[in-house]
Amino acid sequence: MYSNLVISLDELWLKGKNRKDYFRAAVNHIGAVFKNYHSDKFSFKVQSERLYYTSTTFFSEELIFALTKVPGLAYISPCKILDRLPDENLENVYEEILNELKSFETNPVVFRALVRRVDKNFSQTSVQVGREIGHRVITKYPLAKVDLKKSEMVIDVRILPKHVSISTQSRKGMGGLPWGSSGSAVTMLSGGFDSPVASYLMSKRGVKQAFVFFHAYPFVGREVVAKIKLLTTELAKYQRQCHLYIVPFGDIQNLISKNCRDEYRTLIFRRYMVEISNMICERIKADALITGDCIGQVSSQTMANLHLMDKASERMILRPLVGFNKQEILNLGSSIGTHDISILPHDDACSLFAPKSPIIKPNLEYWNTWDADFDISAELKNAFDKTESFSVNLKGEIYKKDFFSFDS
Amino acid sequence: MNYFDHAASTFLYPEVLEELQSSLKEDFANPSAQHILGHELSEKISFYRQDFLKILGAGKNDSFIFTSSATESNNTVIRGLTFLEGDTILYCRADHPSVTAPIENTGVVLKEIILNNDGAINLEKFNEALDTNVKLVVLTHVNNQNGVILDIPLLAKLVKEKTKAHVHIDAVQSFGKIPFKVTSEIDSVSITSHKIGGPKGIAGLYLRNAHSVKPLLLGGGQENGFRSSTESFPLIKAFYKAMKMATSELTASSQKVAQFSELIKKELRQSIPSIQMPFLETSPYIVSFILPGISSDIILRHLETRDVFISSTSACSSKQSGFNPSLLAMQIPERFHKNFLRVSLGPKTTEEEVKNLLREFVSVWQSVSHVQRR
Repeated sequence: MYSNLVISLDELWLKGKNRKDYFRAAVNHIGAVFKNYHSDKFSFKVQSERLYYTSTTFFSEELIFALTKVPGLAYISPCKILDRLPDENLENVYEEILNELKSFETNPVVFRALVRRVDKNFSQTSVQVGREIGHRVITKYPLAKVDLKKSEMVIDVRILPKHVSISTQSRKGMGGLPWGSSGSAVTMLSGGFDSPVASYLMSKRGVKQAFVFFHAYPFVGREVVAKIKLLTTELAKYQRQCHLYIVPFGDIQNLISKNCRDEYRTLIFRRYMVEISNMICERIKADALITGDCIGQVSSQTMANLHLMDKASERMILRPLVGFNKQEILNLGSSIGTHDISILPHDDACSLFAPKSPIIKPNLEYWNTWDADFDISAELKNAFDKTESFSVNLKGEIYKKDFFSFDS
Repeated sequence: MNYFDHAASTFLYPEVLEELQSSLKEDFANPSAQHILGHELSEKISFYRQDFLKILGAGKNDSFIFTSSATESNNTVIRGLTFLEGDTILYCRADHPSVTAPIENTGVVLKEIILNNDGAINLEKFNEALDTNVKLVVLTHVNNQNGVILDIPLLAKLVKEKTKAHVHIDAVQSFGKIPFKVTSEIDSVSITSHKIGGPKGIAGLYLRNAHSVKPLLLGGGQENGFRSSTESFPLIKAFYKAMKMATSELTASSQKVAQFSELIKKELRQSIPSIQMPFLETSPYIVSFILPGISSDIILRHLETRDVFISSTSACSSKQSGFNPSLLAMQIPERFHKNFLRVSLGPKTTEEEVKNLLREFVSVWQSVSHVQRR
């Protein structure tokens, strides 16, 4: 149990003048996580671009786990902070380290000690201290091995002017850029495997997101909305806060399928999903769309068809999975916890309306004129107006909003 | 609201609601208490119990036990009987899961009651299945999904002629709706309150010989030791009231409802030529059919947007997708399992509601029939 946490940021070294903004975005997000997961008082200070959090009570495992989902963090290290003994005596440090590594008694762990002297007046070198730690650990726990290059765990020791910090339980953060530092986007969720993974990858790059789902009720039931909410709950943990919009889309799909050539159905559905998503972007001032598209995965994802979606969208469409293989997507989905939700069965409007032989190379003339005879814009506006809106906090808890509003 | 899912559950009679409310407030005492408050409630429960026996046409010395649901009633019999090695149970897979699930969980050798294409029992095969090893036969008076009525007195007699089996009847969909009487060949009957305008959480179990089954719940010894649990006097009273109301208007209601269900069948056949109505001899309260080519849930949800409520399969099993063993037992091919719909009526169903149903049903069918399931 630890009452000190040290957090380091990722990619900060790449930044120049805007370094401060990135730093602030990360600190704010971390602060929000603390507020949600740690009810006791805590304080923090910044020292050489690392954040030191201290509390009078222990930080929970839940809090530490939540922090591993905060974009932009490199490491989250629960640590012990000991007072420096006089005369550069580190006996208390060695003792504490041996104490923390009790599991080494039965586990053959490969480790290394990483010692840094923040206090440059300390006369022993980092290598000397590291060697001493290694020696003492191996002597006490004969199963353990030192390997500076292939270590499974790191004993991180920092010698500060008045204290020494020890961390043996460091967790890797998700890395990337802080939330909101790369603009905002509307992520189109389908209930399948791909779009949640796409969302995660864009979260990692600091993109603030809102989620949209097109609900083909009454052609499909309500189960799928429950599933979308489960997915949103997982994805929201990578956001500081977000919104979910459920757009009623059954009537539009029915209208389209009655009026267009069969083989164009899916493509035209997608076009209007893109259009409504742009309307949402307009309202919430988002900069881009995110989809789980992957080149060539299904017929609507041929290069020609994806190009048509680009043409239908006023905003850039981000497709982080474009070059991924399906298995890679599934693996990533498993590691972020969305895979097991994506496999839940639900009625799928797309397969319901799916044409027998979907178009692969669309005829542009038809694409541009199919709706010349009637006006679908009123239907789109109606769907947009009837969109259900939910706000989601960073714990993934979803709250219905009574009014159609996109503010936080 | 045009509600056509009365076989799943129906609204309370306003009079029942009134009695329930006042009883919840006033009849708070524990009927097992030794003081006068408890004693009075206990007396009333005995009176209601006798009246239930009378309505069922049972003997005064038979048992009638209040339970929490028909599922509990069915489970009490099936799990409370003692089976020995070599015993068999004869049952129908088209029956409600509260019958089939406990039976399939007994570990006893099972024999199936085979149905004909029209939902009736294949008598030849039924007779063949009856031998002295059969220790329990469960029959559902009115099937909850297809509405088919079984000739219970005849079937029970056939069973007793050839076996000494316990004959259990699930009368949930018939009690208070179509005539039903206990005959000397019947050993137990399940009925429930919420299908006849009473509250949920209360049901009944008739037992000819209470000692033939072991109780499920042990404790304070209520219901003559047969079902320990503090008796819910207000629920029992409300169930009784609903039973009185339903049975008093049984003939008039079923005649009226029969006209409606005939009209529904006729109109739907005319407007939708592809519709299939394979079941004959059905309860007037249940009209079920198959609409090939379109998923029944799509029809159901379109209707709900138009304030019309029907059912795709039994409410308890709607969550299942595709294959449905009880529909298969009704000889419905698997490819039609997602195309099965049930319209069920209640004594208060009006002509206007029926007309709304027909109008909206045909309109929905026309507007979505281009969406064919592949």
